[in-house]
Amino acid sequence: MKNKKSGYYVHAVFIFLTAVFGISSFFIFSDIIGRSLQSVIKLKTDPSFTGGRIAAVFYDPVGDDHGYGGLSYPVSKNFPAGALDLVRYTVHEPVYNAQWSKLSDYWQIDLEFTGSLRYGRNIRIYIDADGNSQGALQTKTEFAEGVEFDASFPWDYVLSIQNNEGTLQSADGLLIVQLNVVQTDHYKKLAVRIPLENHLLQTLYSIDVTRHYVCVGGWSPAGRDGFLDVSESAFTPKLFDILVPDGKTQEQVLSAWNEDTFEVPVLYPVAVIMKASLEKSQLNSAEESDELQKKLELAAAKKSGEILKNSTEAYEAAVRESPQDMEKIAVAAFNAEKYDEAEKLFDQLLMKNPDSANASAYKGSLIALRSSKASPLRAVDMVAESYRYLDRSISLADDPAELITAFLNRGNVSKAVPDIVFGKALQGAGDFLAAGNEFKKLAASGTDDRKNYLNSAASAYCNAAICFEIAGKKEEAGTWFREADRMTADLDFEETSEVRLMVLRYFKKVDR
Amino acid sequence: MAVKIFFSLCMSAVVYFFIVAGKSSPAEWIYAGFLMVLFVQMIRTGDFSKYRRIFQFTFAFLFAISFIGILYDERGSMAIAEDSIQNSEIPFCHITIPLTMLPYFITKTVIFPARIIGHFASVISMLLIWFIVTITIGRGWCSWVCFYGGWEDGVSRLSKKTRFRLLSYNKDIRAFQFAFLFFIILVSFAFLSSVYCEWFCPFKIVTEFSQITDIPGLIATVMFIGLFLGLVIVMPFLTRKRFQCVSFCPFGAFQSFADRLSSFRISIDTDKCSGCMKCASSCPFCAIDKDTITGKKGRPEITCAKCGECIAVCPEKAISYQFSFVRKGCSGPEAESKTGEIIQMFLEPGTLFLFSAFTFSVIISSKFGPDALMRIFSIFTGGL
Repeated sequence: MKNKKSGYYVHAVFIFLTAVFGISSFFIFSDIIGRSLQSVIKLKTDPSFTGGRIAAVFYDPVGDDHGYGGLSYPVSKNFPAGALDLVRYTVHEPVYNAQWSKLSDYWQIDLEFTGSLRYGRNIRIYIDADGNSQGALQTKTEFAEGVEFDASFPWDYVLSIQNNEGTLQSADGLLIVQLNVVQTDHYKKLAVRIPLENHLLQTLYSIDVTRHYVCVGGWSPAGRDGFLDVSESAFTPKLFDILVPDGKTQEQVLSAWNEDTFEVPVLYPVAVIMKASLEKSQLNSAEESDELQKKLELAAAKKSGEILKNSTEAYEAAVRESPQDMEKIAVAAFNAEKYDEAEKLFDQLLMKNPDSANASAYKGSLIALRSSKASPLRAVDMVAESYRYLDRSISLADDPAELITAFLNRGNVSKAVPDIVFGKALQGAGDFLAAGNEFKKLAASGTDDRKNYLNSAASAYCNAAICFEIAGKKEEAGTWFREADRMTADLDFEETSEVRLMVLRYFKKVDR
Repeated sequence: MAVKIFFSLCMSAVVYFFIVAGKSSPAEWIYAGFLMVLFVQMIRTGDFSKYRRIFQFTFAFLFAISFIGILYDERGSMAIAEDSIQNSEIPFCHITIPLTMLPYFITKTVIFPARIIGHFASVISMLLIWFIVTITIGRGWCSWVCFYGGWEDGVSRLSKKTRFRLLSYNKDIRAFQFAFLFFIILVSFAFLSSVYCEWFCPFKIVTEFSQITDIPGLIATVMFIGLFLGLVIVMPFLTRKRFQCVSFCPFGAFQSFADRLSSFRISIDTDKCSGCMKCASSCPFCAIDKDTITGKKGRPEITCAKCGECIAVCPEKAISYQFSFVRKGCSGPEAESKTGEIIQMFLEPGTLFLFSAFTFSVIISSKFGPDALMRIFSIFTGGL
């Protein structure tokens, strides 16, 4: 009887605790619980909704929308920066019997650009689908793009995409099919669906390899085949960005024209194994990557130890040598992780000058840091308060250094706070990308610190990628991890260990 | 009294944290105040059902305004755009859960174009919500959390008297609901698509629907409008029952099974029961039959959603909330001391159920309630 009674009370107290604390806590920590659960069960949406299983993804460098290397970007305001800068090209496996779609049988190709543009892109994708010597080696309209194609892989179909419309045409011109083009993500992405109802196209279901020439130009109603004139030499290819296979560069390929011999550049295709289903492995063997990771972890730990040591010395030097420069001391204290001291100083600075962008940025970060130790109830208020400072710092910043500080501070807070509660991960990605772009501008300005700026830009891009991952945008994360990887490839191993480590961890995750 | 104050204070902390904290608009404070008034009234008067109905109808109405408003902000229409599907951005609704389970085991994918994680209406967050709801209040989801059920709750109260009595059809209605659940699971499995969402869901009229671009699209539109009018408006008005919830909703049927895992149930004290059948007439979920009472089953049928209507109408006070682990016909142990009595007051199943269920009500409505109020205010102040 006594056992029964104590059993009742144990159960009842457990339910009491669940009711009073458990349910709320569950929701507060649901972001962490959800991510942990997803890392175990790895749920995926049925690929037929999103374009089909991915056969191949190609990442093109960011900021190479300059054609052969010297092409001037269209000056018209219709072409904002990056609008013609292809960064990702994804080829899906053909889909049949898709639900919730206008097209039940289709083949999808995605293109992603760094900038938004609703009207003004003129894209040609030439596809060699049969791998034989049949097909065409000239562009669809002669002298339009100003290029030719690799004689080994003549094209069989061309996709002509202008803005949000497109057609597929066979090389013999007998088959013409309307494409379904959907622009998403503020016109940065294009999802091109090729209907496969036509029996002539159904051979695509059984093809093992296709080869793609991807050409991006500006659109003009007056241009030949709609290609915006680049008004240099008549032989200059009118392409701002193309996709090239490994081992070649866009500049190398597109600069190969010769006015004297009437030669035009020859494009080389990227090969797509149509039933690959997964991205190619980015890594060598597991052992090698584990060894590399250990090396990078050591180097990164050493570097962060050095940074902290240097920051502490810088703080002591600032206190000793320039006691009047409160902002310098405050920033040094923040970097040296003397947060209480830093906050006091930033408070004083804000009292003196409420419009100090830097003080607002750091104050915001400090409040967010404190919130991690507060009760959940208080933490939400504190994070909201921190964003008031962080948002204000961005609106007040008026030079690159202040902008970088403001973006990095807000980005770091956005990365750290739970996305399911605050929904800030995408904003954080945007902030890191903005900071990375500012660093890149500084690197391009010809200073001695070029390598440091490039490393900082790469680090910002990695953080942007992490924010994209948090927000569930895996493809964008891949784009920016790869860009960071590309940027640090020629830089010092030790100096860039932190970035390399983040990239390696990403590649290992993708490989798993 | 101390117990009521304790739970009211705890609820005010929940309401503050999930609705007001970190925000500054009056809509949040108004909505928070509204919820606190309802909770205090429930715990003070012990009449859960009346205030629950007010909450659920208000929530359903505000949810529709907020959800449609968000859709118009994001895509300028209630119609599902092609890019929303391609980006897997269709909010994942709880009704889809049972339909996606069987196909998942075959395809290892979710047959619904929703975000998997990183969004309040992602697949993972909805699964987590379903899990925590199931192990606490079980099918109480339908009467305390569901953002659709309030429509029927509201409409069923428009008529003062029952024009069409369903009591003798209760078993058939329940059987139909389970049959429909199995049908829809099998069809979803066969087509590897959430067929219910495409063809049957009546609540598309207050959320989102496919564009009408072809004949099947037109047929689907006629069907969901017809089902909404028939099951959510006309039948609840005539029968004063949650007719769609009890006869048609696959999630409701599924949750009836999952309710076995919940912490609470409704208990009927067969010794006190006089057999007046008021509980059976008032039950909006057709969960109490003549047999339930005459057969002295001691608990309602499987479709009980713990709404508390039967508790409110029982003249003998024979119906109450009970912990699931307490065996049928038993009750908690008698307290032997003053301290024991106090502890028992804090561990009273009805209060704990109310607190759990209303916590879900607060959290699930915390985004939509204030957002809808803001949108309503903005209409009166000159813009949407």
